Amino acid sequence: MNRDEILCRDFVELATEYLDGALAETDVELVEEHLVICSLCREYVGQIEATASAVGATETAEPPEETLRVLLGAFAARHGRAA
Amino acid sequence: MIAYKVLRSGSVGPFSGHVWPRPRDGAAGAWVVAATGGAICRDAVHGCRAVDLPWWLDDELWEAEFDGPVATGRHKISAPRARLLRRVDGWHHAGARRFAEACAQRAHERARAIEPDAGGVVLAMAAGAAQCAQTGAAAVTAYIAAQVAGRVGGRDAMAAERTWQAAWLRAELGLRA
Repeated sequence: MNRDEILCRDFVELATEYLDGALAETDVELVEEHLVICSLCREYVGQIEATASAVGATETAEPPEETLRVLLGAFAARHGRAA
Repeated sequence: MIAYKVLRSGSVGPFSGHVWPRPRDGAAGAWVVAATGGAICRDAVHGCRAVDLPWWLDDELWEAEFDGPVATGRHKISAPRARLLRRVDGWHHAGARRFAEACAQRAHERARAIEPDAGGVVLAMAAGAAQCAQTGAAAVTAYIAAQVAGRVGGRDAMAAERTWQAAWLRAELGLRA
């Protein structure tokens, strides 16, 4: 990104990559400069982090056996194979 | 390299959330070591020079030592490790408010020069700066003042306003680096 600053609408596009540590160094600096002055975007980051944390803490349960059988059957039927 | 570290209350890194060890009994705080390397990224320890301070102002301002190869970004520096040396005593809520009011005053004067009558965008921006200054929101007020300067005088004026802000901080807070 070749610019002096970013705005909220830019930040929304970059937020996930920022939190994943996937942004270029110069973009990280632009994002953090923006976060210093924008309480709404700081709040937005907090919401994403809280959501990611909550989802990450959720245990993934196996589906019931009957549901699994039906789903696999439907998948096989769609792809023309026996379950 | 001696430079500055801006932290939230409780010596907390504003982006990392890391709690920086404070100096104790006259000794510097413990080193904070980056995970890897010294590039400007999350794997380095970040700080800034006095000239960069207007972009990063927050609750606490510390003089800090950055050790190892120091990389310089647009408005920040990074190094493999750093430690806090001393807190800049003049940077507290009242100091932040004083700085913010100085920025807001300049924004107001610039705005009045080109928009003598109320109702213009630049005057509205200056009014916003004044409102922010009342709460001591230093970084936001400084940002708005720079934007006002930019609207009135272009990029050079904006850069000059940031330079003035850094000079104010340097002089008023007795910054060495």
